[in-house]
Amino acid sequence: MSTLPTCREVYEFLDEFHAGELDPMRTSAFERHLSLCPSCRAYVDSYRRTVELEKDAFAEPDLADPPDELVDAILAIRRTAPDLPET
Amino acid sequence: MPYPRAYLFPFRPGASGPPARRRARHLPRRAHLPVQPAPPAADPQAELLARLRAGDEAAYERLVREQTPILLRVARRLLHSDDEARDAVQDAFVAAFRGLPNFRGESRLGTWLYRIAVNAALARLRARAGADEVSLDEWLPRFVEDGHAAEPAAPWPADAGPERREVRERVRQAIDRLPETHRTVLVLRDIEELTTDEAAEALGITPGAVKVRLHRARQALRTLLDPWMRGERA
Repeated sequence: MSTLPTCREVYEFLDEFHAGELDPMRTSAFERHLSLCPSCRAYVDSYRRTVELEKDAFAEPDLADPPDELVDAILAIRRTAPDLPET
Repeated sequence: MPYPRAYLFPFRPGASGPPARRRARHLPRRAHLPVQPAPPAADPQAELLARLRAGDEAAYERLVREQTPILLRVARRLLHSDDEARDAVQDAFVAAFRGLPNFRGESRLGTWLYRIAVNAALARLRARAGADEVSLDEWLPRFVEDGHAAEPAAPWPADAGPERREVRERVRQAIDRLPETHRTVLVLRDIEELTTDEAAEALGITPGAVKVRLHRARQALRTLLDPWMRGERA
């Protein structure tokens, strides 16, 4: 990818570009392609936003309190299972 | 892995130890001063571990109460089922109780439990019959012979329009359509923020395979969201 990459190559190396893992020469070629190709610019932007949307879709506060019945069940298993360390 | 990392460096290195002991030597000995050098109880994990190993019931309850919310969250994300997530967390604690005598404290207790829970959830995923029969090939970009995209991409409007709640729901539904092998990588890498190596170890695949699956999963997800994000809200 030392000369201008094709769209296929942009798509292929996009994850490394996104993660900042491309070497400077490839990054520069990648950016030159993007400056000339509106379709790839749109694709790269939507790829980046896809990753942001994933993170946002699952962003949730931790449960303040765990479900009591689950805690009780886990502790009961520990107390009663013969092969677990005893109290 | 944002939450477990909080366990890794909870204390400033050097905050206790030799300097404190040196000072103590020059002070007159008084009953309320510590006379033992750097007692293990200074580290809450060491204290908790000692109590667990001694079979202290209250310590077990504390561990289970503190860790369950975090473990449930990752198990839910991997299994997308509340019931199975609870079962996986239960499996994880049983495995942890069994492994506690051999836990050498090289990682934080929370990190260790987190890894066990990820493995317990993955084991349940693998046990699901007929899983992963979907292919995501149809959602990957296609190219013409000269390397141009067969279907040029159109920009997504900067303002997504719909409410955040609606977008989140749509994204979750799209993620659930991915084949399990790819969905799992996406959850571990992008949402749980494990490193490539950590995800590879948990899944028993190479780091290269993790990278390929992650990229393909993101591309497929992008394709699934594309019409909707461009305004086709039907």
